[in-house]
Amino acid sequence: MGMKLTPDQDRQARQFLADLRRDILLHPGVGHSLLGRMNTDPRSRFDFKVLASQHYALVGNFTRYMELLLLNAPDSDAKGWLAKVLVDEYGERSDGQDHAELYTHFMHSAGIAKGAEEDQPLHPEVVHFIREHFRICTEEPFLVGLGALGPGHEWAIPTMFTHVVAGLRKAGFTEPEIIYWTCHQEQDQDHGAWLEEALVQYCVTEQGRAEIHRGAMLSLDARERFWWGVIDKIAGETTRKHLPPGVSATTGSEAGQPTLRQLKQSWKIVARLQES
Amino acid sequence: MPVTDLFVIGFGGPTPGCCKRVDPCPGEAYCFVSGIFGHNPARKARVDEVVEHYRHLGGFSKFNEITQAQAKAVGEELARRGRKLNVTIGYDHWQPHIADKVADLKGEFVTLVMSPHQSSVSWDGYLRRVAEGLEKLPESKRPKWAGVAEPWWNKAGFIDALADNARLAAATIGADFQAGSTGLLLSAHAVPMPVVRTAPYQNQINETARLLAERLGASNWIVGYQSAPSDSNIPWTTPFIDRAMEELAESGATRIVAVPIGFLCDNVEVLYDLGIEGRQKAETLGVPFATANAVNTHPAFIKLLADQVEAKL
Repeated sequence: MGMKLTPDQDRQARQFLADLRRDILLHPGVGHSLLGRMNTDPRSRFDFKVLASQHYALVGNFTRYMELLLLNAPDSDAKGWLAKVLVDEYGERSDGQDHAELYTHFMHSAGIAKGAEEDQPLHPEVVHFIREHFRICTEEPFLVGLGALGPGHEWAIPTMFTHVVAGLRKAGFTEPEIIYWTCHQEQDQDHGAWLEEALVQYCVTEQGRAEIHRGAMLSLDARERFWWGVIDKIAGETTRKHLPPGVSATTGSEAGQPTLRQLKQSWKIVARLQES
Repeated sequence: MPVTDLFVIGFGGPTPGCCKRVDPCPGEAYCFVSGIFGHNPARKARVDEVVEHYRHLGGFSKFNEITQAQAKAVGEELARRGRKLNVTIGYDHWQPHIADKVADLKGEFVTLVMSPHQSSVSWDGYLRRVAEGLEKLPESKRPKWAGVAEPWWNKAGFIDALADNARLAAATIGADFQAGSTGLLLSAHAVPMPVVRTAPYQNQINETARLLAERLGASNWIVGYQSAPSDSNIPWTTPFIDRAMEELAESGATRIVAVPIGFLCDNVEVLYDLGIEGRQKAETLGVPFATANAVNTHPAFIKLLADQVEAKL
């Protein structure tokens, strides 16, 4: 499978991927203060209820991005990697529960009522994250999309989720309640390793490297904005919940913020032939 | 039950005394800054950069000392008005922490937020810590939260204090605000746009700036944002102060007076980011530069804060 690389090409490609991995781990989206303070800040179950309500929209759309990207994959190697990850996302290694199902289990533990998962008002940055990824996967060159969903997700998530898991444990969540988060720490390590092998062949040209790098950074920029949105939501909702009568929180009015259900009703994702 | 306590809450700054969070102690400034950014290798370079700013100024901040002086002065002003309250102070990012100090409040309390403009990372963020402190206590021991002093970004006492300090700074370089050749730089902390888009922060800053410029009769003024992390690629409030200073120079300013309208005391952002880096930028532009003090304990500002608290008693 895949093109045969010369030793020089292979060395150059792997050096690029090592540099990319370093850039990802140093990105402020991965190193966001919300994550870095999970170990030191007080984090309550309510904080995670807010986080859960926002993050669900990302979880629920990830497979759609991948399915769209799969359609444009240029060869079997790329399709193979995407399909392999997709099968995991559909629940292959999670006792048949797909990741969205695992996530709803976590949401209920955090205090979101069954059936209300898609009715949470979403911060504008959550909507931006989803829009940006649909845009990347449908309008950008394939390798930009691969950079966003591949390294931009799979190499970032184990580190980000390690912080989240520390906060969840500190807030008193039990291991069965947080299995969505802990299984990603493990599975995304695997996805990341599969990914490196799939990516090498695309990293032999300047253009290929630039597109993959750009995709990863676009995704992480959206991620950084997403975490700021979550902080904004947590501060606004916690404050609103506790303020004395007659005092209103200054931020995060939910008026006009769409829910995932509303977005699904208004968005139609289509794959169609474009001829040039 | 009448209000018995005034709870003054703010950001905080590093003071001498190990916080005992990290062993071995890397120094107060390091603990303070890494506490803000979080313990994450991705932000180490940024943490180191900001710690250096503190080290340049001696390793500590006057933030808490000035906040204590402000709180004491407000308490004394209220006592003069016959409203004697127990004054307690807590910080978001340094000891004593807001959530811990809630337990010291005796009865009903009013909160005074030491932040001139409102967003989730300042105003609401500090109030959130009060809520956390209340939740930590058994219900029988929880003091009653009676109210929060209203914000004051557009109040005369704040604008008066800023204007006085601006005039003092202008005098040091012979600047006349009514002449177009004096550029007035009104600075506030940069905030990421994801936070600003749900907050009144930027509108409030623009309003403070407009009122201050009016009060000074300044014709050539601009708002500039400062102290944004250099490693972030997402949109933050702009223009940053270096670009704002360039704009003032391009518009014909031959002197620049900077006024920190987004800060309440002479902390590292005022003394280093504006006072030192701003001056370096002015040197590259070839213009004399002066930085006004923050409002600190200016009498007009203290009287205003006392008014805001008294309205909630």
